[in-house]
Amino acid sequence: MQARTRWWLIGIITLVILSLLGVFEPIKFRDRRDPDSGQAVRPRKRLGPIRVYRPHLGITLGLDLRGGSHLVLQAQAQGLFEFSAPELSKPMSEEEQTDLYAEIVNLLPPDKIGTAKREVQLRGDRIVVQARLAPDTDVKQQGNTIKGLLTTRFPQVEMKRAERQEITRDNLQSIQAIIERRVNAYGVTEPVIQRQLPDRLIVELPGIKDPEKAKQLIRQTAVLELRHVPRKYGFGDRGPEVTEVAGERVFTFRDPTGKEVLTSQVIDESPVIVTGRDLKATSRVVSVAGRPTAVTFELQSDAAKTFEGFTRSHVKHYLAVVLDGKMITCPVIKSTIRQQGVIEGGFDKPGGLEEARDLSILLNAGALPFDLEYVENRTVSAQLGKDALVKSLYAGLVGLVAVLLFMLLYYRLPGLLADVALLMYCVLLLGAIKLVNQVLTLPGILAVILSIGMAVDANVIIFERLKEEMRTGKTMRSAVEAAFKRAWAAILDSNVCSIGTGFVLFYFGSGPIKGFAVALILGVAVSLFTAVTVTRLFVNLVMATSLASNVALFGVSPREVEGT
Amino acid sequence: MVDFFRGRKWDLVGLRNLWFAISLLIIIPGLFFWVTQGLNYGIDFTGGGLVTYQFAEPVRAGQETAALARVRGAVDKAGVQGQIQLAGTAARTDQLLVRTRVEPKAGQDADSVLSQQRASMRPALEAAFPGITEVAGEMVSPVVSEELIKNAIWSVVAGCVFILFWIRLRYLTFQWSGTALIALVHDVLVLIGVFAMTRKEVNSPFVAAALTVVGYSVHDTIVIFDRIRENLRLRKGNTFAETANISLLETMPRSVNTVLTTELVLVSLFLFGGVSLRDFAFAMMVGITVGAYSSIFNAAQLLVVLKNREGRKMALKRAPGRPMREVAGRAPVRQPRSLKPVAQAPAQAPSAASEEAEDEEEGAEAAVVQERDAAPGPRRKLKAGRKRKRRF
Repeated sequence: MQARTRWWLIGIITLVILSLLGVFEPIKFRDRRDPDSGQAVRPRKRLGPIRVYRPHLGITLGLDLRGGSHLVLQAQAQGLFEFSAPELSKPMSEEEQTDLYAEIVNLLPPDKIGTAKREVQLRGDRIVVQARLAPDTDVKQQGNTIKGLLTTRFPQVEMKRAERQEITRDNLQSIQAIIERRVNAYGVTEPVIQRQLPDRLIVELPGIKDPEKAKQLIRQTAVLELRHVPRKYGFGDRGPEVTEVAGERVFTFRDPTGKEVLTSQVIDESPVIVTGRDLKATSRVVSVAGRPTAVTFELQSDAAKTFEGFTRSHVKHYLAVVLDGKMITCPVIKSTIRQQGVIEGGFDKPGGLEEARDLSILLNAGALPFDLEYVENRTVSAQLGKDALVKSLYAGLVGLVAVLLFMLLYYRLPGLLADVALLMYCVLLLGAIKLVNQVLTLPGILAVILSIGMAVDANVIIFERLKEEMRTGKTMRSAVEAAFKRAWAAILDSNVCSIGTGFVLFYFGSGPIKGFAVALILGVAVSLFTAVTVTRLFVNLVMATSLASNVALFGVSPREVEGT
Repeated sequence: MVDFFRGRKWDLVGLRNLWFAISLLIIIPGLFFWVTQGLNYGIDFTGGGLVTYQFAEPVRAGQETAALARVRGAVDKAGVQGQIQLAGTAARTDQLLVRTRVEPKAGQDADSVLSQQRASMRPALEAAFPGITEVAGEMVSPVVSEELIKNAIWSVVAGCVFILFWIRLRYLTFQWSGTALIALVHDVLVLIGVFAMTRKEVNSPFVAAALTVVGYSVHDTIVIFDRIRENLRLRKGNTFAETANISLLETMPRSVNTVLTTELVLVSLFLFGGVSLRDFAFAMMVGITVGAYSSIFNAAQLLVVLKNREGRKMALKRAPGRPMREVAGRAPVRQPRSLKPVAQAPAQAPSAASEEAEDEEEGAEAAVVQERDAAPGPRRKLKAGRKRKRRF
């Protein structure tokens, strides 16, 4: 055989072997890791640095085949409003300030503003309101609504600021970091957390066992607040009643007249002294026998100073520990607290330890600066994923066998060549997928199977062309040359269009569809490659043998050949 | 199983009106259904939630109605409004799909609503079907579904534009790329029509299938166009219509075989693949068949129509009554126009040569006469105003 042909043969076979090695990973230089648990897998044998494993499918599987959750979170825009009123500039005692705060808070219930959450602060002589923007609402509109509500008490109120707080790139990055910390602490292997500008995060949790719990943990705003309960609701021995109802702690507050007051209102009227932002990331769970389970926290220095001053002058007052608007515990201030403290109580019920652990994770990871909402959620159990994988592989195999048989029966010798080329194509395609580290999703498998059906096409074009050229009575060699040359134009153009639509799909498509698009593009590209190299190689190989002169093997009846 | 198509002297171009009629016959009812009933959009485009359950035991054939009734009862008891559907492979029905609307009130987001729904459905379903497990849950909020719709439309437009310009680039005129595009649009319309009539679910995978079909159908069309282009260059003795017909017949084996191999694979997927693959496979099966049909029976014929019209227009520019020597079509590759005989591989046109091409659609008065090079036989001239009967 010609030297060139020999080199091509060696090259192709090398590629095929490399692909097989890469995809099935029977030999590795590093440890193989189980994708779900992250543990190293034990090799069958070790030869120095080389590890021999049982062959497996070494391509990363997508969530829809492996099981897991694909979540998309969107940060909700917020509005920041500032109001001034002459009444606020008057000097007042702390009691009066607390009462004023309570009044303002009661003037602005969240639903009247059109959102679910709002934060009110008295800063100097300004009322600052931070509220989630209602969908499709103008910031100014919302600001005016608030202003209208305030006018009843402050007739001369003025709106000084009404801004939409946009999520900046930095915000998104810090949110991503916070969520990464939470997810890592939670112990999910190989999580994927990506930003999607302008305001979205994609979180993928493969192999997660309890998706609901994880979703909660991720999304929780985790705003911890230590609030000062107004004197009228608690002082000294007169504090809230704590009862356990269905595993939850319920706090009951009463006002001076003895009437019961809603906890939420109490929280609302309690100004914030210290928030989670002032914490150092050193929170831990302390669980010692004989003592209640507690979560420790440590304040940063300036907040520590403020807190010290507050606690020193407010002994016997109550401190509400509120997480995301829910009261966790409400201890009385016994003495000055400077830097460290514990949050205890409420963690000694069943499941309490886990709650304490979650709380410490949240405190250490940080509070989210923006509210996050789930806008997309696709969760697949591992069982369903495996089921889908098995079914699709089986279907693909059946299809492949059908195509192989068909080509053999219809095209005879060239059909056999095309079949071998097709099998090599499959291996090379898998190798290509492994090479680009593409995650294989269910649509991706579909694209691979489809590509197998379509890859034959290039061969068909060439062989049909070959038949025609043979009929014109050319010598075998020139017929082959002409066939490949002429067929190439058609093959190129049509496959370019397929690749083009693949790119369009990739650009516009969502996750699994992107997997489909990449697999399709790879499928077409590799089929172009094998059509030109592998098929040609085989035909050249056959030509070197005596079979070549027998046109009947190619499906051409000798009578049809011109000149004979 | 040797060449089935060898030597067939079919006139695919001449019967083009028939093919156009068939196409319209398929498209119009489909469009009607689409416009009146709309498509069965999946949650990707409507938003909402979809929960998949797996039965412990598959539902036996014939028991489906009863099973659905029990599911409906359980779902109603849970206070959830939703569509229910049984699913599975062709062999066994062992899954249940529940689609719900999620309408978040103020303060709630779509995901927590769905979680609540799932939590309330679970005990009711477990009571009705012991051993049932929840295997998948999906939620798409309205924000995202709007985007998905927009992206879907844009992707189809982008794909078509790309193809339009790529073919224009390679084939030099918009005539060629335009007709290819029309064939494509035809395919997409038929696909949509079929889905409108069968009420199968239209989701993101459907859009992916549609685009893949677009790429594939163009694949077919290009192979045929390439052959036409080549034949126009090599066989100068025929009219455009004849060349088109020859090319169609020559490429027929390849077109049919490729469709066959792809369909083999798709049928296998349809029969053995899981639920999500089935709808995808179905869309592709329909799309590829239609794509092949439009490539073979519509694309080239449309080109013939356009070329004939162009030929007629050019003929009208000449003074009537003088013999004309226009070739009724132009090869897109620029070549010096020569009237001398061209020595080359003997023409083996399987179809009998007809000397004139006529555009009978509008009862053209001017006939375009073609001069045959290098072939023996009398030249036929036509006096202006006479129509020549078509011969095959």
